[in-house]
Amino acid sequence: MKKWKPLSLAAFVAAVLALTGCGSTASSPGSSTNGAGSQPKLAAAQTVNLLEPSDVEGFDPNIADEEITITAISQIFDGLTRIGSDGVTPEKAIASSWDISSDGKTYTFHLRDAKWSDGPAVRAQDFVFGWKRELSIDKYGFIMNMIQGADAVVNLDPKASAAEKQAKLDAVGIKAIDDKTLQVQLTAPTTYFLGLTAFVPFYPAREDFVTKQGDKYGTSAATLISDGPMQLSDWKQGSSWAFVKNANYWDASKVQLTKANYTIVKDQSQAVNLYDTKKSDMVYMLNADNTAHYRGTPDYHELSIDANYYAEFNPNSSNAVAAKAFKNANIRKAFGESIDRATFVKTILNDGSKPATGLVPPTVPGDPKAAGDFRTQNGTLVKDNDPTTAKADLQKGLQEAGLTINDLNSIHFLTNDTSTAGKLAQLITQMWKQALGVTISIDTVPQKIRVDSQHKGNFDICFAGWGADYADAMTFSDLFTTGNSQNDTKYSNPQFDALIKQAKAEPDNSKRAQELEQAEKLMLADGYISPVYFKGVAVIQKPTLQGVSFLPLGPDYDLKNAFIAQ
Amino acid sequence: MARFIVRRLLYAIVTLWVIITLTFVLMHSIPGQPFNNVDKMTPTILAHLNYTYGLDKPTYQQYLIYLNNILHGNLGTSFRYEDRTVNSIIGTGFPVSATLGFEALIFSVIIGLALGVYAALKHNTWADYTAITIAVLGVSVPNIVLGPLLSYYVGVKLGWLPTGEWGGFEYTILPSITLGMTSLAFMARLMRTSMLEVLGMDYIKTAKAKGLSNREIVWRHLFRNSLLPIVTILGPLVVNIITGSIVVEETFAIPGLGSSFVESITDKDYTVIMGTTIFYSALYILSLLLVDICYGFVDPRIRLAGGRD
Repeated sequence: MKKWKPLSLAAFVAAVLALTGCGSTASSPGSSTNGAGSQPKLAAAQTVNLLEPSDVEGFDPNIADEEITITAISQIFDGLTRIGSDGVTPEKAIASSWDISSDGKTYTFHLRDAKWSDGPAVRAQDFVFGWKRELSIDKYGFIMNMIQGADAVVNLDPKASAAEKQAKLDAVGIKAIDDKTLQVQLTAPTTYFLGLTAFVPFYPAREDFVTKQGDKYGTSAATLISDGPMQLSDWKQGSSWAFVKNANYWDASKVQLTKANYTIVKDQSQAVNLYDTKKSDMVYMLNADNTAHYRGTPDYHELSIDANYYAEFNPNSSNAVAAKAFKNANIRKAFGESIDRATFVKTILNDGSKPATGLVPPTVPGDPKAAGDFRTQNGTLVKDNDPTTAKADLQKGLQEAGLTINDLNSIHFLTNDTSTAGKLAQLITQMWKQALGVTISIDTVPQKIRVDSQHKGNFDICFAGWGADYADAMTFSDLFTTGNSQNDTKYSNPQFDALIKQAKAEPDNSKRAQELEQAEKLMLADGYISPVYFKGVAVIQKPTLQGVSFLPLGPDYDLKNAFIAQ
Repeated sequence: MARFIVRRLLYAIVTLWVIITLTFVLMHSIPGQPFNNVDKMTPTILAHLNYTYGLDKPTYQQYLIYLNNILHGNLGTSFRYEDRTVNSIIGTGFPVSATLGFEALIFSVIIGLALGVYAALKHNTWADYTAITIAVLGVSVPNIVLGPLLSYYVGVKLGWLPTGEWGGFEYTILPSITLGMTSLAFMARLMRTSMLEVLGMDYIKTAKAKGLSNREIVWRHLFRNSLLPIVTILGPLVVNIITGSIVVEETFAIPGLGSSFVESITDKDYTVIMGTTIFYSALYILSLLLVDICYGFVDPRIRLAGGRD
């Protein structure tokens, strides 16, 4: 038995914040309220006004599968764990302690005396019910695939009989030993599992209440109970919703905010106007158009999130020239080397995004025995802005492939129809033209169509992004194994597959990280994808709003420790 | 008259059916899925979802099921907001859009007509030129530009009115101006031209020769006769204002039907796209029909049905 030892990345987050010039003020995002130093005075009214670009899809945690819904729900629920104010470390929440078996596969959680917003105790059975419900609804259930028997439910034929489904659900490795003890059986040691238990799909649901509400569960304040810092008080579908403090929350004494009002504002210029006229305390994810105006003010902050964006070169394109070209390693390399990532990030994004130096973005934990995060440990693996080498590699590649430079002009770049994606495509093709002398045409389609074409392999070059599902390098590396449905270029390297398989079964965290680091090196050297940038997020936040934790993955932020200062 | 209306209603139903079919075919011929996180799903999970939502059935079957549902007044449930029916989305969104549209219409008709009349009466003076400049500006500045400008300068810089959101009357002023501006300008120009034309008519000269006061000439002869072309454009105008509200609602963060419509298209929310398209089309067809009926009242020379001998 061992207690899970959290990997501290607080130092790194602090470094990032210091670099952006907001690490020293009390208003720094992510700064914890219980830190040393002078405690700011609370304002009389503890109400925060926030804006979101679209409505919540529902407050039932088991149907939540997109960012805004997930962010909203996580303000009113508490899982076994909750991500701490450093934005990374899972801390005790409904679970007051836990034991992990020596093979890393059995987790036993001991629950504290916590209550639902309507009074009754939160029991281990509520977690069993909630998790199994998540699996049987099957929207985001795949995120539980490390739990024994979960895959069998998720992949069950939808036409299977109810009895068959129930049998599969009964076999899932989640068990309430008594009201206060929950045991979870995993198929393999999963270092990031405690982080996941803080995430929305892993929230509890109380069977009697959910059954009584039926389809109405989570559709209004009257048909929802929650166990988190706040509770839903009002929801005008399509226009606004509000939370009030949950008096029954086990940690209610730490919660300062009494109310959070949310308004749906799709257009960011309007959001900024509302912010300027003091109708809102924060705008999350500012566009490049708006960052310049606030940069340098105390309101402006830049954060790093766990997401990377990369170019994909498809050797299986139906365009014969593209297929032939991208089967050649030197041509792939040339395209990656000629991208000037710093210019890219500065001119198009301008929101704290950083030039990519590898596949796995910063803040993702690496080898616990070595210093730094995964990214620092594995170093810079991307060759950036080197037109001379790129040109030479291209010449070599063209000769090997039996192509001329003019042949490459028939290659297309597939992109979204949003303004940022359009600018991005313009700039990257311009870079290839300048460095390599190749004219790539741009095909612009709506986002959903882009994703569809990409997964079907109908593209030559494409831009893709991936946000982490959990705080571990595996969420990024896993995608490129043979046969993975996200592996758009159908990349297949047996050595890479073997490393990933090994890492998945590895109980030793340190060894596991090393295997993943080796896999990353291998995959990037093959060059079917070329990382371009790590996503940053620009936020404006009134200096009076303090203690908000910004999270690099999952929900955007957590208001549990937030307060309004005088 | 009754026969005319019945015939037109029949046409309207056929038109609607054509629109439904076309939208259905177009929507299903575009690749992509109405679900979130498709880029994170395995093909098995996607297949499950398609099964659950009936999207694995052949397209013609889905079409027949859909038509059958519409006949029963059921526009389906949103894919994205699973607890909302399309009927309820229209039910909550449309009253907001209609309020905004109605205010914009009143604003544009009153100010537009006044400007047009004024410009015609002061023909070729600076007042005329000013009115026409306003009109030209109004037509050429699209509301996607005008909206943010008003919101920023009047809302943020001057702080006179709310920059956006939806609350009491003061929240409706800027969006109504934005939404009504194009129609206002159009109306003013049309009214001016129409007035000038009528001014040259013999019956105006007669009225002047009879010694009627200017005021009487304008009200009794000029204004009513100049109105006919205005009524003609009223139908398209109403529709213009409704579809224009799609942009204005986004700009001013107004929870109307227009913003749901835009969102449904980017989300590929099949049922909401279909439902709002049908609703908008029906509205359009109905307003055209109403305009045709109005003709009869404004100008008795126009007979709607066959004519009586």
